[in-house]
Amino acid sequence: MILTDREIKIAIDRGLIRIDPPPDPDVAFTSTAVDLTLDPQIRVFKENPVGVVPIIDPSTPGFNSTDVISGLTDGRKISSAGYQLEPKRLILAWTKEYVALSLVTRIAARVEGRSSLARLGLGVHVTAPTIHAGFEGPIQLEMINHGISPILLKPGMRICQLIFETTLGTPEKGYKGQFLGQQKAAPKKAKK
Amino acid sequence: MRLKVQTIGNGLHPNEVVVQVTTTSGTEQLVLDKRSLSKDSISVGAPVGRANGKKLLVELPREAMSGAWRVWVNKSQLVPESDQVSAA
Repeated sequence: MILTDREIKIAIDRGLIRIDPPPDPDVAFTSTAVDLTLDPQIRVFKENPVGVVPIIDPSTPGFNSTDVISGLTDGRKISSAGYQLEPKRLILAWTKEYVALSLVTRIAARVEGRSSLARLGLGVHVTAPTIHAGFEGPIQLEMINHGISPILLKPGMRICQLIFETTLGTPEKGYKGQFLGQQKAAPKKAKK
Repeated sequence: MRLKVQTIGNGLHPNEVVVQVTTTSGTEQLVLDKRSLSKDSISVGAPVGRANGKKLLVELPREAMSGAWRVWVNKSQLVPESDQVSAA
């Protein structure tokens, strides 16, 4: 089930969801989501990487995606004037908000786009929207302009929405030490 | 429980770090927010599996670069939440 604005606020009050800085209680909420904003820090993929662009093989033992992406991108800080995202370009971005979901919570979340930006062709993630219990940090966004015109991105703009859902039960890692002690007790034999 | 980690580099965002986890079959690397780290350990909740009395299956807070979420670690890699690892 998707949490409503009331339930999201209750979960925040109970410490099950942490959003820092806290969302504006008047305008950041919709009936079933909370809007998050764009951090000024982004990574822009280089247009003309030096040398031959290697094929990326994520299955290589010890593959380090951060090193690979560092080599293919430049870090930038968006000024108040904004960053112009050209059509068909991919950048990495983050939410300004730090989000934390308690390990023992029955809440997971999904990051999704905002319809006003989607209509312009702006995608905010590439098929990895799930925020699991125990997650901590700003949410990374993989942003692509699928439209035909450049889109101006400004720090602090409302960039995505977070939808919270209740899970059916508590995840195994949310239980206290089921596997910490000695061997699990064998199931009792039925009395004859 | 908290899992011991070793910081091996910076992430793509100034607030991120890359850490390495020692598993029973080698190492796993993952990106974390710096605030998740406390004295070279991260919170992983309760183990989700156990084998041979010494190996515990834990779920990482984020997907490792190999794509793994759950990894087998030796018991010695885990410390109670209230007994965090001292900085080396």
